[in-house]
Amino acid sequence: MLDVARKVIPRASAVIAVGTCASFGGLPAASPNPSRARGVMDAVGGKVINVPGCPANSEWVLAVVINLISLKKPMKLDAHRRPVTIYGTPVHEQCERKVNFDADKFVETFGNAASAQGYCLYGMGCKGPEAYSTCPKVKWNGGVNWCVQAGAPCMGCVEPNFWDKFAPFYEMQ
Amino acid sequence: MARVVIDPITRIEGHLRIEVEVSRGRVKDAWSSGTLFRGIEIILKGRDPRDAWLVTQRICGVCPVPHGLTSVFALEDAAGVKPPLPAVIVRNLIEGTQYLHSHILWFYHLNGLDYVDIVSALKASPKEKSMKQVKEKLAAFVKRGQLGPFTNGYWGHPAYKLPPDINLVVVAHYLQALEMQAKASKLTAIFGGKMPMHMNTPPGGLTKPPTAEEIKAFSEGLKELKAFVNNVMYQDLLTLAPYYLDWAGIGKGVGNYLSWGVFDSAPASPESRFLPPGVLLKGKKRLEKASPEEVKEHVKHSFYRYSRPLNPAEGKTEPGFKKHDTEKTYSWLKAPRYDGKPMEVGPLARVLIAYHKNVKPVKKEVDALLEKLGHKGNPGILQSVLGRIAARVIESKLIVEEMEKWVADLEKEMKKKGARVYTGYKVPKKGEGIGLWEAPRGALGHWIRIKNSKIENYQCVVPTTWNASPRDDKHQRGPLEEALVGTPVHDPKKPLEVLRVVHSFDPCIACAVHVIDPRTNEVYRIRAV
Repeated sequence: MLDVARKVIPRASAVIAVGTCASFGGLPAASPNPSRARGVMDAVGGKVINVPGCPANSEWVLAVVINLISLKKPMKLDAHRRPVTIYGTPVHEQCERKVNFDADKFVETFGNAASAQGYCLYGMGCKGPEAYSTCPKVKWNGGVNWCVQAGAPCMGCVEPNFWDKFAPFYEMQ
Repeated sequence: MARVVIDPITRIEGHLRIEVEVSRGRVKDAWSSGTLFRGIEIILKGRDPRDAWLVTQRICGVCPVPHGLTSVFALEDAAGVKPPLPAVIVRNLIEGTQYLHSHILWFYHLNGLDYVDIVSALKASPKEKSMKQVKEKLAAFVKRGQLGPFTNGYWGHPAYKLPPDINLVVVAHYLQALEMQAKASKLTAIFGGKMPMHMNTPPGGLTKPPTAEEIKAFSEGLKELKAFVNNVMYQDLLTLAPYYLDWAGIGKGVGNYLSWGVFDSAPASPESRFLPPGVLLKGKKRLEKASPEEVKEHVKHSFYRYSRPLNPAEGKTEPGFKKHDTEKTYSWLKAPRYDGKPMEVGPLARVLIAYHKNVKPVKKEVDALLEKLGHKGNPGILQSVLGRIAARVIESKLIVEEMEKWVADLEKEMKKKGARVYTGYKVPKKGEGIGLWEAPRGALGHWIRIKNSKIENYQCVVPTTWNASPRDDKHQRGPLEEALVGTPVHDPKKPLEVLRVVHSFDPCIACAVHVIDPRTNEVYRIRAV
């Protein structure tokens, strides 16, 4: 695999790392990284465009591909080589539950009335303020739903090293 | 005789290599090797037990739901917590969508092309407009010299038996099935937030109660999937099977079957599952109880530091890579055995066990199919490659039917006053738990040991470890290895028949097939299709 990547990547007109594993190593690279896994930019280098997420959202992948094909302009990337149009704003800022954060209305346990009413999940361990993506707007599986709408705290799966940086993912009792 | 290497086999999930020795047109011996190691059990050590189900879903992007749920059950077992009934139902529903997604994907996109000749489909003379359009689409692919998803087939192989018109119809359904599997995932996401890697079933129950709108949207989508399963997939099975009846006599394998049971009717009561747990041993008529204590993993032929066979509760994952040598060590898979025996797991095992337990809807479906195939009262023919195909389709049909009932149950439960979806619990300081469940591909077990409220040890025994396991301490072949022995091979350069046996297990590890000629040691290196 690594041999193929080393051969192909220097000659490719564009390299897209799809998903958090390809971008940053993801779960296999989580401590203690038993297989010494790394993302493409660390293992091979080159002009990689990272499209992290666990999994990568298909809308993001398509957006990057269409951008490359139709606009033929380099995309503006952040420090982690992610397109800023997708990964430029914290999830928290775009979240439909932010009104409840601002109003100090928090979910304190799963499954209760507050969880059904869309109270904020920050106290449950939500990583929305530290995770950058358009999840609340684009959503998943063709716009059906997303983690917070399903009552689950964001686990920050678009961020480098999130398995070690953000765990434990739940903060409730 | 000939030695052939196929690397990699595609149309499976993961990294698997199969080596077979062919003599006089038949497979004489076989070796199955998992070639990928990630060490997820090692990564789990020291983590918060509540996070385990998020980690284990990442074992596989094709069937994350059962890996998540099985882990949840293991912690619930250790913590002594039972989720409320509505949570049990929602978990069944997302497990059900996972089965539909996986079986549709397998029937058409992974396994289908072993039986459907794409190039022959171009010779069809369709009358319907829609079929003409499919033919034109296909012809355009071929004209550009790019078959797209249909590249690298053994097209024209004499083992393909369907007439051109039928080939074309199934190609049309292949394309339709791409939409259907996406629709199945949308249904998972309605409750789960997203798919793969759903988010709504933490240990204890659900993150939030399902809303009436969500239940309605789920119910609507399910109707469409049901129509596809019954009117397209099941009909395609009936159309294809008569052309491939000889495959009811190929690939039987070990003849031992294990299921932990799947689809709960109440919290933590596996015996009442819709598809019940059980053990069916070769040559024995009586079904035995499935006990996790009887499971031991062997590593003599695997790339791990040697130890005696261990129950997963005390299991170890200590990599010790040595040279790939089919006489010694040749796989990253361990070899799980039940009471010392290799066991086939998967839809065939579940269907046979339910049939033996007289689960009425299962018995009815199986008997009806046997009659349609002209083998009334002879379920023995299901112990074969064709039987595995039939079992996946029958199971889809049965599950979609049950799911409609579960949706109605959920509506009723949520209307009850004080309906709950979550039971609070404390992570025990010290404890052990087992989760036993079924992924679409077969029996799945997670064993957790907790110390100081952290994971001290975690072991997963997954379906493909059972099915594609290497030899054990007693040198017994694994189920896939055993099933390959005796398979006819028309042309070692185009080992389509080997692929049929391998794909019938729906292995979930990427894969390479080697065909060996012990006399000439001739090796054909083939890129698998």
